[in-house]
Amino acid sequence: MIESIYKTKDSIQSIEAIKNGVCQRCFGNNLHKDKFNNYHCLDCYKYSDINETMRLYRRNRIMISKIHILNLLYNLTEEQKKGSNFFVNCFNNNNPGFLQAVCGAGKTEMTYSVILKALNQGLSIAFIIPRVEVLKEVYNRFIRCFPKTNIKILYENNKDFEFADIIFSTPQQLIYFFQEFDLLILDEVDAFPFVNNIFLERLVMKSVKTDGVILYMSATINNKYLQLINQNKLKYFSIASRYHFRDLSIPKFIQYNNHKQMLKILKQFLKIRLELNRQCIIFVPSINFGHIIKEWLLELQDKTFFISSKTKYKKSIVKEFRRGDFLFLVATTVLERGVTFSNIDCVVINSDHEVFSKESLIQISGRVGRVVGYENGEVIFLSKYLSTSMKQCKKEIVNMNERKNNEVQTM
Amino acid sequence: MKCKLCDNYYIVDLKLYNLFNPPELCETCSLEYIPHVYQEIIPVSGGLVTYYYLYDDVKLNMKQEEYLEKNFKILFKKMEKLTRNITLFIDSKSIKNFSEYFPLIINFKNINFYSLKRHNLIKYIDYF
Repeated sequence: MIESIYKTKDSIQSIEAIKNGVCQRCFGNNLHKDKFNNYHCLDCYKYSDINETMRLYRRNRIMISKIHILNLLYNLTEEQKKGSNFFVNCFNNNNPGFLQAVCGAGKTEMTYSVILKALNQGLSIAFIIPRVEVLKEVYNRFIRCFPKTNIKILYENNKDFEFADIIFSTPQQLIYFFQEFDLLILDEVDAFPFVNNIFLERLVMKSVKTDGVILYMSATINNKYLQLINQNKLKYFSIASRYHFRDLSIPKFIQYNNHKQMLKILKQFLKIRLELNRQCIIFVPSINFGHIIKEWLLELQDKTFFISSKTKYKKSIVKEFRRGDFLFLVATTVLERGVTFSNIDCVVINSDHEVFSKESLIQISGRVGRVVGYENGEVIFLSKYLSTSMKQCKKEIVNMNERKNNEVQTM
Repeated sequence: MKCKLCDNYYIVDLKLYNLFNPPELCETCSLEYIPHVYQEIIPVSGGLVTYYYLYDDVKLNMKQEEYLEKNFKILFKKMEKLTRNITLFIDSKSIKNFSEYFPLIINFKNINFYSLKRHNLIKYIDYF
């Protein structure tokens, strides 16, 4: 059902907005008493003010039943088929599931079967990704693969979801739905802002029907989901190999004592990339630092760009980089996931910084060697100290490679 | 103590000078929410719209807005000097009906708008 604070002709249900000290829109209890003794919810205040004098109106969403087709121009690998079957089994048995697959394994492709099945049953489907840039990219892929399906995308001010067969959305936009979805796929669960965000988790739980299925996907798994798996509340499946069966690039740690030395190491590394004409992404922990590195890089090459969450034309810069118009791109963690470049290396400066968590570093390492024909690439972590995240990241990548090699030998 | 803006707990080093007037905000918030008088001037046909606000690029909830409203005294002092103009305060609720004000104020040549945080007034420029 669609939930709104405005009454419409087709509203079928009306409830108090705040009941027994709990906001019925976000199920939060962070309330604030104003000058007139009215309680306001502070958790969902940014969407629009909601207080105890107001009511919430719910209505059914209109959906048109039709036959959907999947237009896939390539075949799934054996590993991808296993992942796809795992999702279908979870959906058939009405169990929530978690698929952990390494970066570049083709997780999105594994969801096609279960989505097609749910679509042809006339069920309501949502595909949730916390990062807008990744959301747009996956949305474009789905439009090509499901030509007869009406797919709508919700983010920021894009709020058109009428007649949609599949809704692509950020978790924030789920506030407009109440027990709406039969199937909800949650990609990149370890990504900011979804990770450790109780408010967004509440919205996800609220938007799924009581008998609906939630399927989680990510390259890494945190303790919260591991606990659920151990308690048998969540089905789990893991894929250790990429679709081209090559190893994941293992990061190399290079230590420096001061920034001067760091720049010297970086210069040497980038000069080799210039000679080889290979592209390189330089990850930095903060925006200010990114601007400094970009200015410094202009000495090496005339055209260099810096991408952060505040950059206005991110898409066109990424497009130019993908086209090979320039060799070096400086970026914050905004580019750590969801983007595929064919022939690149990655450098992480100050990789011991708290911004670079284990999950983040694994995702960065996963940017390298994703495309067939360009499976090799280098990942360098430049840091003053060796952080726990760096150690855990390397350990997990080595483990995944070992697991993949064992699986390949037994095949 | 509990910060009145972010609700996080923080430690205050109590001395004689702040014993009866301890800081209400944590260190991060006291640095982040320093009020500045920002000014935007929008030329309109036959006049000028001047827009003053205290916080640029911040997201505030209702509780935070209520607390920071005490900083309006800076703008009140500014208002006293500008007696001949029409002055309108904009808050999070009134901005929703902002376009409805225009038939009433269109004949004034110089208009001053005040608000706590910045709202994008440029998108209403067609109404002037």
